Amino acid sequence: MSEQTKVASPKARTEALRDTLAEKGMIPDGALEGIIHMATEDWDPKNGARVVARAWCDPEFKQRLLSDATSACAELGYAGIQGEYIVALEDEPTRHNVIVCTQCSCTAWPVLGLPPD
Amino acid sequence: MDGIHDLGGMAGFGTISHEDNEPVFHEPWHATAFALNLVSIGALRSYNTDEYRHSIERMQPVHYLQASYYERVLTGVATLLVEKHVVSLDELEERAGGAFPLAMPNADDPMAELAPQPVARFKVGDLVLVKDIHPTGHTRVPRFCRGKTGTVLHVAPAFSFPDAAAHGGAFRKEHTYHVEFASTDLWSDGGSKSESVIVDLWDSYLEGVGA
Repeated sequence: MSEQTKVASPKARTEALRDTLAEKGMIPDGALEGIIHMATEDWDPKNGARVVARAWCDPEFKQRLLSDATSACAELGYAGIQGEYIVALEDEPTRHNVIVCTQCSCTAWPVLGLPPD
Repeated sequence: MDGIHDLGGMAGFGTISHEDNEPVFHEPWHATAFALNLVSIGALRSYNTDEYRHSIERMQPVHYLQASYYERVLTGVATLLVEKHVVSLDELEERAGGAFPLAMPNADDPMAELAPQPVARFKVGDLVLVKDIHPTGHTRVPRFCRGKTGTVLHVAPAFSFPDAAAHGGAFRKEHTYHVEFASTDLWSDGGSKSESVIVDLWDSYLEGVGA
């Protein structure tokens, strides 16, 4: 297409890519729906809140969380993609921790959910 | 790549807006774009996560700044699938009914020369200097800490080295470290003595200081 052609909307471009892949038989049945379900239903910042709440009332869990957060989160069922290695940091009266990604956007999906966009 | 994506320390973008009860996806096509990326990486094995991150970094800077988050996701995915001949730009544009802007090509010589470091060279408490490198391809060492000295706070397990993985280099794993910098060492007049910045850095980005 020529340089003068109007740029298609991002929605039209997304659907064009999806439909082109689907026509070639490259999208397994239910794959898109499964991923979207995981992203909207399973990955939830409330999961991280549950981990913290458990640490508040279970000192042994808190110790496990601080020494190996990946397995402590997995105890509650929070694991998987972008949760392969998790470190928990504890705020203290004189220390407040803030997590920022300055290069892309991969938060720990299983416990924090997708980043705001 | 010293590109528009590496925005740590940049200013002038205005305040960050917060939306109460923000939905995971604002539009159905956002969810579709996100899922197409994971299908392309997972089921299709067309590319890896590091190639994907760099495909977004390679977007034309003006397009990058104007695009929404999920338009960037879409552009990265489509760029890689066209480059790897899974789909053609012509068929995408014909179906979309308009132009489909893609990212710019990879650099010819994208990797800095960094010797592989399969064994952790540093331990908690070590002082380390971040190499002042400027590779033209993908890297995970932010500009704002290059040439700066920090202290190792934590040694994490070895993980795939992204600069190589993004560009078809030999697969290698290296330990990453949580390296703490005084914020005033990074921004002498912008930091605060009570603040520090901790950056996750791969072994070969670093060299030892002293001793």
